[in-house]
Amino acid sequence: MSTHSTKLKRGATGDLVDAELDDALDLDDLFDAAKQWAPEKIEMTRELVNRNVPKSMWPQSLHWNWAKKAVELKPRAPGPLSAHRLFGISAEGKWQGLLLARCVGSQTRIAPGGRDLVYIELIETAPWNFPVPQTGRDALFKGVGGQLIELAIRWSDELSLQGRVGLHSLPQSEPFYRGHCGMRDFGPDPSYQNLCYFELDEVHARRYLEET
Amino acid sequence: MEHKKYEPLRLPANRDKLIARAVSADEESVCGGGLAAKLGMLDERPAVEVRREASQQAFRLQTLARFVQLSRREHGLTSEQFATKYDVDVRELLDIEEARGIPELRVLYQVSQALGVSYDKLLVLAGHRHSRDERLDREALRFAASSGPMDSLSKTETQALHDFIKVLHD
Repeated sequence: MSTHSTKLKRGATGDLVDAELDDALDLDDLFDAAKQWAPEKIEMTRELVNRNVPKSMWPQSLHWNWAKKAVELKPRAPGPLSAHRLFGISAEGKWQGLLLARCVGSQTRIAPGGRDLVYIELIETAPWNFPVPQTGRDALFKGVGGQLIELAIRWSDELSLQGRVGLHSLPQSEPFYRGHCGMRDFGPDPSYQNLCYFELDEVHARRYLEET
Repeated sequence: MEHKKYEPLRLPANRDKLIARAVSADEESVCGGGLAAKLGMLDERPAVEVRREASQQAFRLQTLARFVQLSRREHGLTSEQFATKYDVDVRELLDIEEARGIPELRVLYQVSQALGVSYDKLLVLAGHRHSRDERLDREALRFAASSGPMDSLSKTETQALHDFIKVLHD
């Protein structure tokens, strides 16, 4: 595990709190996160049901449970000889968000020529970091997604892929990738259940990292 | 390329600006689901349909919220006064006015009685009843576009409110 100190913002107070970025996690960390997040997901589901929040407005990853997909995840296990790498951010002893990416098998759709990119297979924040306006719930911590994306861009850059990254977004998350990340929206992709495909090109990747 | 993959990432010593930008992002949600799609973890309905339904539901709840708020203000009542006068739970009234979730049937009935409008139409607006009422949709849009969150009702808002009340009476 390789860690870097960072900060997150506490949603309720606006204070910055200490956090850690990890850039070489393994599948056990993903399962640990699933274990930490499950009770909160159940609690959030109860709250949404009790408040009659329509299901179409629920966080769209609320029912995800990666531990249940352990068999399918095994071939994607991150490690020194794997094309996959798992990144995470933790604070106050808990995982606040994870990102699983792979560096082979995906090419840019922006320009012809088949240049590789880092493809983000999954990115998820802890359920307590989902703001749910319908129940009056704010995110416990902010800044998780933007920093995880930064790690994927840096990995792409260090692999000489010029920071190119691609991903398929859940509908609720599209504004984040289009707006904050400056990714190009390629629209619904039929091979991924019509999730919209987003890609960050070299110029926007450079701009993203130049914020330092 | 293989041997480079697990070298620790090189992060600059000072990431203050990047952190500041990350924590100020409007992170409604950041979840990406390419793998979830491949492993069959997504909602069974097509993403476009989910998007459309969520947006329509949100719009109707916002219209209901604005309608109730404007009606209460036209009566010259605070939320608390309105709740007391019409025997509505103040928290439930505030939930309606802030479009937080689908209101309970009981509360919608109380509101329909208080404002003298159709209970059935409120059920449609709140999402309890699915109805292809094109006129209601059209008028809801017109109403939403003509009103805004101002302290006192403008002439336009008053007119928009009265027009919409007529639709809700039918």
